[in-house]
Parts: sequence; C-alpha cells; structure tokens
Amino acid sequence: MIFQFLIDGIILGSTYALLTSGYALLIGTLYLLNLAHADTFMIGAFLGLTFVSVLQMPFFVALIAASICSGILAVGVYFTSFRFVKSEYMDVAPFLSSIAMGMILQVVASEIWGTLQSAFPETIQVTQYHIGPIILSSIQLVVLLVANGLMVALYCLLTFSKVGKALRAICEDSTLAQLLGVKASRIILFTFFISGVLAGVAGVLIGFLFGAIEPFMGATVGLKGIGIMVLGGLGNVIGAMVAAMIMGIAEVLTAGYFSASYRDAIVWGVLILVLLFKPGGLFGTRIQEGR
Amino acid sequence: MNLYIAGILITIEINVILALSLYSVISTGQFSLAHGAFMGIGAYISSVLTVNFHVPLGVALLIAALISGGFGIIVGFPALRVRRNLYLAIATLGFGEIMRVVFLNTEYIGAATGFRGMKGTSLSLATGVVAILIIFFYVVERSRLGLAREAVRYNPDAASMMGLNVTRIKVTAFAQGAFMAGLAGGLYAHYAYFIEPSTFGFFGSLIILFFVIFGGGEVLWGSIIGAVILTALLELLRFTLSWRIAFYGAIIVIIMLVRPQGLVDKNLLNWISDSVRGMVSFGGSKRGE
Repeated sequence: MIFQFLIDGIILGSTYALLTSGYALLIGTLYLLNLAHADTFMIGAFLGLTFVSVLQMPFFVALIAASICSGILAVGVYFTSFRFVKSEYMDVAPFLSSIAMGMILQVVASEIWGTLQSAFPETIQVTQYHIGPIILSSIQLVVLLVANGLMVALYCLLTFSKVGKALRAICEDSTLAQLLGVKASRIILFTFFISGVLAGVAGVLIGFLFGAIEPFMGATVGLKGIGIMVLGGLGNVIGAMVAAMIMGIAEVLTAGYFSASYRDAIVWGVLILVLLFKPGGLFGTRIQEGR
Repeated sequence: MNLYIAGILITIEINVILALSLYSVISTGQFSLAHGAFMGIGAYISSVLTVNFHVPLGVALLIAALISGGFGIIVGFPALRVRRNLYLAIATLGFGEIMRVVFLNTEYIGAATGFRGMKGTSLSLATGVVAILIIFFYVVERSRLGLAREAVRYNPDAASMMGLNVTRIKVTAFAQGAFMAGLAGGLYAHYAYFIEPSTFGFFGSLIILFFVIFGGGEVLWGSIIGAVILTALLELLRFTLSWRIAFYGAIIVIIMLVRPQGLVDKNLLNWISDSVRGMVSFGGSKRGE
C-alpha cells in the first residue's frame, strides 16, 4: 500500500511541480507574484479539453497547442498587470491586478465552458501495468513521463543555456545584469511565456489524470501551487520542484490514511509551520530571505 | 423606506465594517488575505450561539468577534516573522484556505450545506456599529497610538529605534482587524439568514481587499468610500448577471494601472481641505500673500 501511495504522490507531485515552477520562475526573476497564473493553468486545461474533444486533435498535439496558447495568455497578463503597473505602492499593486485578471479569466471560462465539471475524454488506450506491488495505469505513466521530462528540460534550460544564464543573472541583480548587456525586457517576456506554457501543460495533465476539470480549479489547485512555491523557497525553481513532490506525497498519504476532505488543507498547514520556523522556506537561500 | 433599499444599505454598511477591519491591518503596514476567514469565524460562532443556544444577538456578536480577534492574535504573531508583504499575503492566504476546509468539513455547522435560521440584523444596528467604528478610528488616529501605527507603517525599523514596541502594535492591529471582521461576519449571518463556507473563502477575502485598495489604503476615508462605491457598483451591475465579476475585475485592473494608491489618498484629502479652506476665506483677509 505504501509504495502505491508513494508512486501516486510522485505523479501528483510532478504535475504540481510544473505549475509551481511557473510561479517560482516569475518570483525569482522579477519578484512578481502572478496570481493569474492559477487561472492560466485552468484555461490551459479547458483549451486542452476543447482541442481534444471538439477539434479531434491527438492528445500530444492538443497538449502542445494548449500550452502554447497558455504561454501567449501569460504574456497578455504581463502586459495588463505587470508591464505598466507601478509596484512602489505597498509592493502589491501588480499582484492585485493579476488577481483581478484571474477573476476575469475565471468568468470567461465559466461563460464558455459552463460552471459545472467537464469530463476530460480518455484519448489513449488505458491499460494497467502491475510492477511488483504497484499498479500503474498508462495515463499515470504518460503524466509521469511528460511532467518529469519537462522538469529536466527546464532544469537544463536554466543551467546550461544562454537564456538560463541571463535569467539567473537578472535573478541575482537585475540592474547589474542589464549593465552587462542582458536584454531584460526580452528575457522577462520569455519568462512569462515559459511560465504560461508550464501552467498549460500542468492544466492538461491534471485534467487528464483526474478525468474532470472545472473553472474554479484555478482557485483551489492553482493557489496550492503558491503554497508549494513558498515551501520550496521563494523563487527557487529546483526547491519548488522538490517541495511539489513532497506535497504530492503528503497529500496522497493524508487522503489514504486520514481523510480525503482534509487533503486541500495539508499544504497550508505544512506551509505555516515551515514559515514559523524557517521563514525562507525549505530550500531558501540567503538571497531569498534578504529580498 | 422600502425593503430593497434597506437591504442594499445594510450590505453597504457590513462591507464598510469589513473594509475598516482590513484598513486597521493595512494601517500598520501589514496585509491580509485571511479576512474572509475571520468573517466566517464570526459568522459561524455567532450563528451557533443564537440559533442553538438562544443567546441574545448583541452578546453573540460580541463573543464571536472576541473569538475571531483571538484567532487574529494567533495569525498575527507568525505573520510578524515574515517581513515582506508578499510572504504575509501567502501566509494569511494559507490560514484562509485552512479555515475554508475546516468550515467545509465540520458537520456541526452544516458542512457544505451551510447553516440557516439566523435573523435580527436591522439597519439601525448596522448603522450603529459603523458609527461606533468610525468614531473609534477617528479618535485612535488622532491619539499617540495612531501616530505610533503610522510610524510602524512607514518605517518599522526607525519606529522600533524610537522605543515603540513594533510587535505589540502590529499584533494589536491585526487582532483589532480580526475582531471587526468577526463582527461584520456576525452581522452578515444574521442579515443573510443562510451562510455557507464558500462565502468565506479566498474570494471573500479578495473582495474585502479590493474595497480598501480601490478606495485607497492610505487613509480611513479611502476604505470607506471604496466599500460604498464598489458595493453600489456591484448592485448596479446586477443586470449583467455573471459577467459582473468580470467587470469588477476590469475595474481593479484599470485602477491599478492609473492610480495604484486608490481613489482617495493623502494628497487628495489635503487638496480638498485646502480648497474648502480657500473657499471659506475667499473675500476675507488675504493672509499669507
């Protein structure tokens, strides 16, 4: 039983990791919390659903199309809520503006797709694999591979590519990075796009995994992503991924051994405890605490 | 007065109390996304007291508000450890989400089906509470405590150098805010007859935050005017049905773009009082020229 819970938790955690790393990227580079990210994730899920069921696209094509659309949406949110909004006042103005954008997206989604749960069609042959004590469905396998593949790709992008280097430079000291010739505005646009893409993939994968999506999932699953991000250390992408795995497992264990209805609270309970004793998060560095 | 107008007035007054409750947190430079939860605590406790234990409404409201204030202290202390507003937003968001799950899963208060049977909030009761709170803020802001809060808000380090107990001031303000939110929650429950957990979730906290941010968190009148205008606007937009939340969002996006400090700020208040003074002294002696 425990192995089954662990693997289920890791699968759930990998989708959370996709969602959370989007938040972490934006906090890390720009010190901006984009709450519309949660609803970008929800829109991504619905776009995936539409592409699969209405436009009859194959699953992977729909996944890519939905994630690109979400990326573009995230860039749009950048222009409405961040590019021209001054952050000097209480440093929450862009944050509030992004919440309001999220509200608008939520209304638009419930007008288009209805407020009830929509079933996500099964687009691939569902087979069960028995590996020792663990049962793994082909859906779970796809989610696991896609999510973790993307995580590795993101890690490589951040660590080895020129863009990743520029991104990390902005994260350390944006003024100095710009003095040294990093084109910050272009990198920022790129970061928003990538975060949107990750949210879109996470949305489609969660819809695929649970079989149902609703317009309000941005406010539940999406907000959970913020908690996980803080848990991992503000703006620390790798920390966010690890924290997402931990939370995925913790949630599945809570649901399995305690009560399914409290699974949504576990993230926040752990988060508040961690903030009490280690305000920088589990993997917070000196830079993140000082900012 | 017809019932419809009275209903809108009561809603506006409850929202003004909510805005004031958040203003008391913001006036010490803090931030909260848990006020929906505090409102819920007040609403549920006062409802249980009046419906199940037949406690008089006034007493029930006071007890509920005190308990909510107690929760405010519990949340306020850890919140102090997180220095930046962004962290504070997230920590209070967490508390709000936990409370939502608790409301949703406690059978005694009806869980997801809600709790019903409360009545008793009248226009005069709500008006009385609003009047008391405004007088309270008016007195506090002109006292030493008000000065201390302003100091803590704009520079906590300097304030603590001057010998102010920053921790006590911040936690008191947070508890005071939670107390008022609990009071508003109790009034709301006994006006609405029926309460359910979803009212007190993230969205509830957001609406309260929007009142203050839209009106302007710098000054007392900002939050009051924000609550009045936004509540009235929501009522006027009722004909747009489900799109009104989107309109609401659009208004916030626009106000953040053009006036991030909110409609009313210190400059505007100074300008108004200057021009009023100008009008009064016009034609009289030309002092200062």
